[in-house]
Amino acid sequence: MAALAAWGSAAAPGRLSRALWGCRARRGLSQAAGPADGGAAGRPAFTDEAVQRLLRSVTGLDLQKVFRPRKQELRPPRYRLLTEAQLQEATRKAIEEAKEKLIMPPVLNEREPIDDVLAEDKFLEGMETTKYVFTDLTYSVPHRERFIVVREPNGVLRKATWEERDRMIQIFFPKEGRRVIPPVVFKDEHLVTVFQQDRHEDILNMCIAQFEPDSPDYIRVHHRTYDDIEKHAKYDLLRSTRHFGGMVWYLVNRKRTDGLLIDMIHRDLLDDATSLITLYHMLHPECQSAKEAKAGNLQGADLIKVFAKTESQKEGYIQLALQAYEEAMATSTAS
Amino acid sequence: MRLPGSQVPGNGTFPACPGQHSPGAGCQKTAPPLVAPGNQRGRPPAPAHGPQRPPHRGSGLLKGYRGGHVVIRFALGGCTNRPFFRIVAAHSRRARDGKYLEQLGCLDPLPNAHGERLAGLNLERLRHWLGCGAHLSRPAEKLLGLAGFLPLHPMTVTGAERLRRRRRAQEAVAARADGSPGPGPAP
Repeated sequence: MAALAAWGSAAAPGRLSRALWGCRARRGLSQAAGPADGGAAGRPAFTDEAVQRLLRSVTGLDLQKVFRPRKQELRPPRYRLLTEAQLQEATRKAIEEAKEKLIMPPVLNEREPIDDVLAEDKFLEGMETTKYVFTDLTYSVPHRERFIVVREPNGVLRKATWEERDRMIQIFFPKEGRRVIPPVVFKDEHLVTVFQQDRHEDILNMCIAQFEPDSPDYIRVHHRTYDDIEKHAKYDLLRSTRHFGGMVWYLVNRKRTDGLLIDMIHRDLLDDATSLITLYHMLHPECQSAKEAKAGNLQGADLIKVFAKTESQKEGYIQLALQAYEEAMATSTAS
Repeated sequence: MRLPGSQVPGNGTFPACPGQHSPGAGCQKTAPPLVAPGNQRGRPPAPAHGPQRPPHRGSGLLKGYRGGHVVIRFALGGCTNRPFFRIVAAHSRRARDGKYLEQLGCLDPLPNAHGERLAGLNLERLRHWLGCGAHLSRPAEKLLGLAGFLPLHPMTVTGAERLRRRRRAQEAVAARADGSPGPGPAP
């Protein structure tokens, strides 16, 4: 799997593509949020400022992990002698850069398939044996609005499907880190091997480089990764990466937060645990623990206890973990 | 005897310099020579504004053509048994694969692994050249008709009908040959 290491380092997208995500995600969400809003009025979306703040706080900011050494061009190391003030300034700049690196990739609904026929010329049937794919190469047109049409051998002129579109755009406007035909590693049987090697972050980086955020492959790979992490409780692999927010969003939407909660309490991250439960209440305001929390205006450990009692399946584990944490706190304050 | 050119121009007399057509025009040359400078064979120099030759360009690199127009056509490239066309706007008098004004797209006539023949067309620049009055070659017109940018070329329709008629005739012949296998061809 040496190829994975190379792709993992090359696949971090540049600022330009992230800026494009911003407008595409907003555009995509404005299309996708329509039916979602119609279904549950006022339901918070992934890009809401409150939701993003909670997800960012849960993700954490471990500078050692964000700036860990990765394969790049070989350069001799540079050592600098700094005063205290300069060191603080350098740390502050590093934190800014880390925040930039931790911007979360968009979470969109799956795109609707395109089936739009522009013309039917039945008398052309039988002339050709293979189809023609015409791509508009105008440079100033955004890729989402590009005209890509297919003339079938039976004379039908139709718009190209999403897979054909992605392939054509990659052929004529190649993007770094993306291949014309998606690598075989994204198939389900090969993802298992990747997960056994604990390379969830690398495969997610590759997936972001290869697929569009609303393509079914992107969503499938992300969901498989999150499911595997939740099954084996490997939450720490994604902590302090840009994928953690998406994982938390996925789990909270499906009410499978118990493992994550226990993991946070084990690592003494009570604030993260309370943020998680706040997010849960934001997304499921009709659940019982949300009502109790709002009524009693609970904070901290009480919130977790109420949540464990009402909403979770692994109540016993959560209470055990909380007990262990409180004992540890008591001994540390005592000693 | 008066030398030509010593007359004051504008009197309607014979022109001061050879090659001056209008009597009212002033003489451009300072000393009116009998033979124009550089023209050792005694040929009259080219008129300042004549339809026969384009104005002289400084560098000798630009080829000047007589007539001709801009055409959008296919330029063939690729290797042996592997054609590849570039859709190109060029002067009609240029070589097929020679210097062009602008490349407007490409066409790969061989189908790829997914069974598709790819064609890229820069529609914005195509519209620009068509607006400038470029002509189209017949294969280019047919391709744009298939793409839906232009209406379908009548020869595409005609070709389809001819093909169908030929196939029907062949099928009829084959059916007749199958139907009556007894009397074979005369020796």
